[in-house]
Amino acid sequence: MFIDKNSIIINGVSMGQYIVQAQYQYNKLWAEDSGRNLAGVQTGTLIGIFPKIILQFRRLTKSELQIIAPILDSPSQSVTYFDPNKQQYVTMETYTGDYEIVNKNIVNENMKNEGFQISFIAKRKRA
Amino acid sequence: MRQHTSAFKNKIKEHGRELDSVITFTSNNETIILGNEDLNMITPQFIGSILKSVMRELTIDSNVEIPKNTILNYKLGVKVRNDEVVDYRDNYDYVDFGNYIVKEVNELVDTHSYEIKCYDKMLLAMKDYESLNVTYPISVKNYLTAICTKLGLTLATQSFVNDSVTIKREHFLTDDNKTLGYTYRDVLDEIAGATASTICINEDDEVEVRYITETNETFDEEYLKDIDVKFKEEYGPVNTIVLSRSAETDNIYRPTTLPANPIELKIKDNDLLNDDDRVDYIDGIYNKLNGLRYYSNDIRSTGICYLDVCDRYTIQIGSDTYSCVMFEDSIDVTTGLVENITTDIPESSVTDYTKADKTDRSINQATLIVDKQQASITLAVNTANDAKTTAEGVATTANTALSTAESASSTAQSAQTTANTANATANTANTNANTAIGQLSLKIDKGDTGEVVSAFNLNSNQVTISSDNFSLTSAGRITAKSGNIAGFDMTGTKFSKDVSGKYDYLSYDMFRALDCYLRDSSSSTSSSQIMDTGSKKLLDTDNDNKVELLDTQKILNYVIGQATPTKTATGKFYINSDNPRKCVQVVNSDNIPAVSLGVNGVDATNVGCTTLSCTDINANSLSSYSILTMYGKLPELELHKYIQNSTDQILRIRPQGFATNYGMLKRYNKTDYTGTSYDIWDDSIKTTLYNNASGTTGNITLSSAITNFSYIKIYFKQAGFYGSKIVMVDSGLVGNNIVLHTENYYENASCQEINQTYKVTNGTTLSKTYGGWRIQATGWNADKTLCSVYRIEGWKK
Repeated sequence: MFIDKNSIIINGVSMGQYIVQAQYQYNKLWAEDSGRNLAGVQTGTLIGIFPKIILQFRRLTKSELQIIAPILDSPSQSVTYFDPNKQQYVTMETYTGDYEIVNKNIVNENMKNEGFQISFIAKRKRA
Repeated sequence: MRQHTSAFKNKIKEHGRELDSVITFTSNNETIILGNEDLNMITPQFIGSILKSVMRELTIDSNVEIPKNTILNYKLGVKVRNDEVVDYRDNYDYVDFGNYIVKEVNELVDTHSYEIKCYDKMLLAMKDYESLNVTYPISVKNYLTAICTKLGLTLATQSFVNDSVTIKREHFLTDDNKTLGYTYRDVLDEIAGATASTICINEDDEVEVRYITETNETFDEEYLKDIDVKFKEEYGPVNTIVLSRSAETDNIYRPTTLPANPIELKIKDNDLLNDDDRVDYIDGIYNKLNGLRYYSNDIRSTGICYLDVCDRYTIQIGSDTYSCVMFEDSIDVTTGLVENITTDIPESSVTDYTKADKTDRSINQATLIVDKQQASITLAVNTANDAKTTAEGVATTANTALSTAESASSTAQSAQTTANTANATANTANTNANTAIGQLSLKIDKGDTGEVVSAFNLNSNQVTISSDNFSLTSAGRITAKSGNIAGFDMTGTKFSKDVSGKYDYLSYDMFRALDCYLRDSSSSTSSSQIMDTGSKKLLDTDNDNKVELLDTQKILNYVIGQATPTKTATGKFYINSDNPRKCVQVVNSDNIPAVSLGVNGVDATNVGCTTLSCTDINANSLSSYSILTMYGKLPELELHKYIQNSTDQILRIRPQGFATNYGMLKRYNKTDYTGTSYDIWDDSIKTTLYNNASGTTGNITLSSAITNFSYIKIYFKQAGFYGSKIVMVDSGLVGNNIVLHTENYYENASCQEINQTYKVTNGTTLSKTYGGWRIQATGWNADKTLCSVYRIEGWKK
């Protein structure tokens, strides 16, 4: 939940200033024993809740992109976010999906990259 | 049941349960805890049954290597709380699956993980059984305690079925405490059978004698997957217990009054229940297992996890309930959990109760005992308590005993001895109860070097065998048409054996060898004159085809024990009733008879003896006898003829140089012991003192002094007539005369008498002093030219 401009910190960088939208997914991962039992009731082992945060970045300047690009490109990140279930800030280790940057003109401090979207997926289940 | 909380019990079946696995062990004095991130899969499982021991197994797929022989603990947890905790495990309740010993570690290169196989402390029993150093008889409980002590374990159960029954002897080792291939685990299986229990390791790592325990737990469909759920037949209710041995031919049962429809549980060929004390066990076993019943099943469950071996539980499906007992369980824990529960029923059996009885002391009096420990089959015939009981014939087929022998510790392929029909007939049973009067046993054992030894023992007061070619009477008389005993071959009328071995020389051989050598050394004699080739071969110690002085010396050394003979002699020994002349015979390697013994006496190539006496075999009087005796010790040949008051003549022949006599042939008068001696002289001591083929009538000069000789022989001739005279030389001969006197000398058809006298003037000169002749005792006519002497020989002392 984005409750203030510092509600999402990734690798120590507050992303609030760069994004226009944050989408929070709380994905359940079920074990292979999931299915219906003899009573017809769905049963199974919940492996855990694996949060996924999808950030929509605004148009970024050259220097802004250069700040966050290393974070996006790293194999894992430390993401702190406010979890409504836990009702507190939770830090999780994540990995990212792919992202792409569109340039429609020469990018500088005045001419910006087009906005883009990237997902941060929890490596471990939420405690 | 494993210890668990009600929260665990409730959560484990819930949708969305969250699981956690924890493995804890110590390495280098440091406690290591592996959790879900380190563990890919864990499978705790066990396969057990009633009347057996159980060993739990744990298989782990881990990203962390755990060294072999590590003792680890496994717990499975379910999240039961959602509290804010420092350690997330505080929100989980766990079931402890116990401690395990890492047995195998295999690296899975493709997944960069390790497959680790672990077993509970029953693994310690998987080693060869050794002497417990206990004193028999011993109670089952103390025996089991001793085993636990040996394994470094503790017996948790202090009271169980048949715990006070005594074990009379060691069942799992040979009489001299050698292994029979049993492990302690095998022995625990036997104890489980004898105590109607399941033996396992409990959560405290103690040995437990466990019985089926009602948990009052009911599991409905929510615990079961919608596939692979099978319930088969119900086993029981058991109402009969049978203890079986001898390939199920010898059975006793309970209850003593058989039910109308026996549903039996048979314990067969348990080594502790193989002797004649089965009655000590059977009542306890029956009391425990009577009424046993449960459903066999094959269930895939969503997970229960807290049931343990021997737990009785109920499965309810709709309105159907199934009472089950946990014997086999396997839980696959990955990201999820599936539990597979299987319960088989014991192998069914049907006993012929007409041939079974309540006790070992049966009226049949014949028991066939298969002893897997000793790898033996014993047919025992015993007397019964009741006298005058007749068992006409008890025929038992022991074909299946072959498979029992084959499963024995040693290779029993040679135990293909089939006792198809064993007829034990006891016509009269005496009043001495339980006295074994006969025993037949087939046994397979291992010798000291591990070779398989088989033994067939027949032990009885009377054994009779009757067949066309062989019979044995009860009195012990054997009749056989042929045979081979220790290499002695008997066929028809012949008894023979090849003989071979080192030739054991005696002093006779030494002297024979010397004789051979001396005769071969002389140009005029040969050893072949005195000995055959075969006999000489044996004296030829160095096999150079000669009997020499060296051979004699070697034989001497053999005789006095300073060397060991190496020459091998072969031949054959016969007893032949078809040949009265040679009914006992020994032939040499050339098949030439060396000695024969028959109705006409003894024939031999060589005879060695110290004294040989020849006389009338019927002689029985000292008043008249004749005897020829050879005394090898002297040596002397004595001929003695005695007739009381008439004749006593003794002739003794001794060799030259014997005492004070020289080659003496002595005629001996017993009455005065002063008889006349006659010397026998041989040419080996002869010297030619004078030799002139033409002869001389004059003086004679000797080549050596006459006094050097004991006697001389003078050869003379006269006109074609030859004569000789022997003259004994004594000290008075020198200076005296030798007279050559002939009688009955015919010339011109007249009888003439010649007298030539020589004086021995000195030791070497014979001077003719007189010569004369006369006819028929008329006066002498002097003539020194008669009787020319042509040779004189002398014999030395």
